[in-house]
Amino acid sequence: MIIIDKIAGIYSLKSNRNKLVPWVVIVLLALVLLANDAHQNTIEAAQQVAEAIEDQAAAARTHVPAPKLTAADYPTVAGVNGRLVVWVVAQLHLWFAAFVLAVPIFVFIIEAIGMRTRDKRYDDMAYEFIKVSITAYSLTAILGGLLLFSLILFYPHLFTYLSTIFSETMLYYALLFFAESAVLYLYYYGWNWLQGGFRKWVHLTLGLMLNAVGTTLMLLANAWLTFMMSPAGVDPAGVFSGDSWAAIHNFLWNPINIHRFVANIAYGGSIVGAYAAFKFLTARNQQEKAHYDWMGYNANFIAICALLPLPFAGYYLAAEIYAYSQQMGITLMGGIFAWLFIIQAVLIGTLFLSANYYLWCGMGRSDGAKRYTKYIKYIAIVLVGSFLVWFTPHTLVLTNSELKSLGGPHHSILGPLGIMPAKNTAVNIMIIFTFLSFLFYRRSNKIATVSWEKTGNICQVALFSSGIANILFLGIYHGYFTNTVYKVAASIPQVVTTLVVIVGSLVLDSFIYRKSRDVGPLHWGRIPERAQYALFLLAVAFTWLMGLMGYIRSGIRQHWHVVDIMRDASAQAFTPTLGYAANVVSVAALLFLAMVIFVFWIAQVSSSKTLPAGYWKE
Amino acid sequence: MSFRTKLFSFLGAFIVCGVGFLLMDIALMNAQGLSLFFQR
Repeated sequence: MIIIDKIAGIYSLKSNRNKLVPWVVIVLLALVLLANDAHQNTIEAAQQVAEAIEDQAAAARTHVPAPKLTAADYPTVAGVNGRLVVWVVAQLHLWFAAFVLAVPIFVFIIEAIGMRTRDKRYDDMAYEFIKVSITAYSLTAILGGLLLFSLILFYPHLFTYLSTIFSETMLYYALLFFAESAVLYLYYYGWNWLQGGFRKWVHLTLGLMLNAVGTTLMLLANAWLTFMMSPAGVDPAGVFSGDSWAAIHNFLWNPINIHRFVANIAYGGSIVGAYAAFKFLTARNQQEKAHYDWMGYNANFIAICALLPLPFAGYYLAAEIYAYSQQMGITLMGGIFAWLFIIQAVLIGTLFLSANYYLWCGMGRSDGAKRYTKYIKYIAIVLVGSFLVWFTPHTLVLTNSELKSLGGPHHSILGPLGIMPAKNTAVNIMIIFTFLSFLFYRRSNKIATVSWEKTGNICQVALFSSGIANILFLGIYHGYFTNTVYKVAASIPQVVTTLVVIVGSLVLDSFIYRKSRDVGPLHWGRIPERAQYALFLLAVAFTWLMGLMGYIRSGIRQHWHVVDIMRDASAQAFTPTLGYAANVVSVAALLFLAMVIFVFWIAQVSSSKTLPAGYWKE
Repeated sequence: MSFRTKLFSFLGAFIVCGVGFLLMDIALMNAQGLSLFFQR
C-alpha cells in the first residue's frame, strides 16, 4: 500500500508537474516575447528619436534663418554698380521672355484656325510669327544666363537664401527649360514636315505642349519674385518650413500670374505687329504689302483683345497688394511711386489711341467704310477726354508761390478727377469706345440683310448708352458720396457692365449681320504708311510701360530683398529718384528695341538668297 | 422708320437695359456684403 501510495504520490506530483510545465513554458515564452517586444519598442523609439534629431539637424543644416547682411557682404566687381546691372539684365530678360512665351500662344490659336478653315494663309502667318520668336528665344536664354551670373556675383547671399527655399523649383525649371527648347525646335523645324491629316494634329499637339511648358516656366519664375514681395512657408526669422508649395503659392502669386499671362499676349501681339509694320514698309511689291498688312491687322487684333482686360488684371493685382500690405499698397499708388502712375496713364492712353488710330486707318481697306467715318471724330473726342481724366494727378508738385496762388496742392476743379473712381470710370469708357471702333471696323465691309436691322441698331445704341450711364452713376455716386469700401466695391459692377456691353453687343451684331452681303473685296495693303508707325508706337509704348511698371512692382519692396524677412544692406538699398529710374528703364528699352530690330533683320536675312555668278565650280 | 418710332424704341430699350444694369449692380454690391444705395 505504502508503495502504492508512494507511486500514487509520485504520479500525482508528476501529473501536477505535467500540468505546470505548459504554463511555465507559456509564461516563459510570454516573458521572452514581452521582453523582445519591449526591446523592439525601445529600439523603434530610439530610432524615432534619432530620426527626429537627424531631421532637426538636417533642417538646421538646410533651412537656416535669412542672413542678416552688412554692406561688406555685397561684392564689388570691377567697380560696377551691381543693382544697375541686375536691374537692366533682368528687365531685358523679362521683355524677351514675355515675347517668346506669348508668341506660341497665339501661334497655336492661328494654326488651329488654319486647320479649321483650311486656309493656308493662317498657317503661313503662324509659321512666320514663330520664325521671329526663334532668334528671340536664344536671346532670352542668353539673357537668363547673364541674369543668373549677375545675381550670383552681386547678390550671392540673397541667391543662396532663395535657392535653399526654391531648390526643387529651380531644378524643375532647368529641366523644363530643356523640354521647352526640345519642343520649340521640333515645333518650328517640323512645321513643313508635319503637314496634313494626322501629322498636322501631332504638330498642333506639340504647340499645345510648348505652351504648357512655357506657361509652367513662367509660373515657377513668378513664384520666386512674388515670394520676395509676400513671403510664405517661412517663419518670421525666414527659416523655411520645408513646404515648397506654401512658398510657391504665396499671396501675390496668382494675381501676378493672371496679370503677366494677359499682358504677355498683348505685348507679344504688339511686337509681331511691329515686325509686320517693318516688313510692310520694306515690301517690294503689292502682294507683299497685302500680306504684311493682313499680318499687322491680326497682330493688332491680338494686342487689343488682350489689352481690353489688362487694366482689370492690373487693378486686381494692385488691390491684392493693398490687401497683403497696406504699407506696400500706399507706397505703390499714394507714395513715391504715385507719379510713375501718371506716366503709366499717359503710356496706356498712347496704347489706346494708337490701337484705335490703326483701326480707323484700316477701315480704308473697305469701300463701305465711308458710312462710319463720320463717327470717328466723336470716338476720338471721348478717348482723348477719358485719357485726360486718367492722367490727371491728385496732388500736384508745386513751388511755394504756386501753392499760394492755388490755395493748396489740389486744384479745386481738376483735383476730384485725381482719385481712383474717376480713373476707373475713364478707363471703362475708353475700353467701350475702343470696342466701338472695332465694331465699326467689323461692319465697314458688310451690308445687313435682316428686316429688323434698324431696330437692332437702336437696341445696340441703347445698350451702349445705358452701360455708359451705369458706369458714370457708379463712378460718380460711389466715388464722391460714399466711403472707400464702397468706392472699391463699385469698381466690380463697373467692370461687369463693360463686359456685358461688349459681349451683348457682339451677340446682337452677329445676329444683325447674319447672312450679310460684302460691300466688295477687302483691299489688303490699302492703308497709309503712317498707320504702320502706330504699330511701332504700340510696341514702344508697351515696352516702356512694362519696364516702368516692373520697376514699381519691384521697388515697393523698398529696402528689403524679401519683405520683412531679409533686409537689403547694400549701398544701393535706397529708392532712386523717379528721374533716374525712368532714365534706366528708357536706356534698357532702347537696348531691347535695338535687339528686336536685330531679330527682325535676322528673320529677313534668313529668307534672302544670293546667287554669286561664277563663284562656284559648275 | 419715323423719328418718333426711333425715339420710343430707343427709350424702351434704354429703360430695359438700364433696369437690367441696376439689378446687376444691386446683386454685385450685395454679393460683397454692401448695399447699392445705403451705406451701413
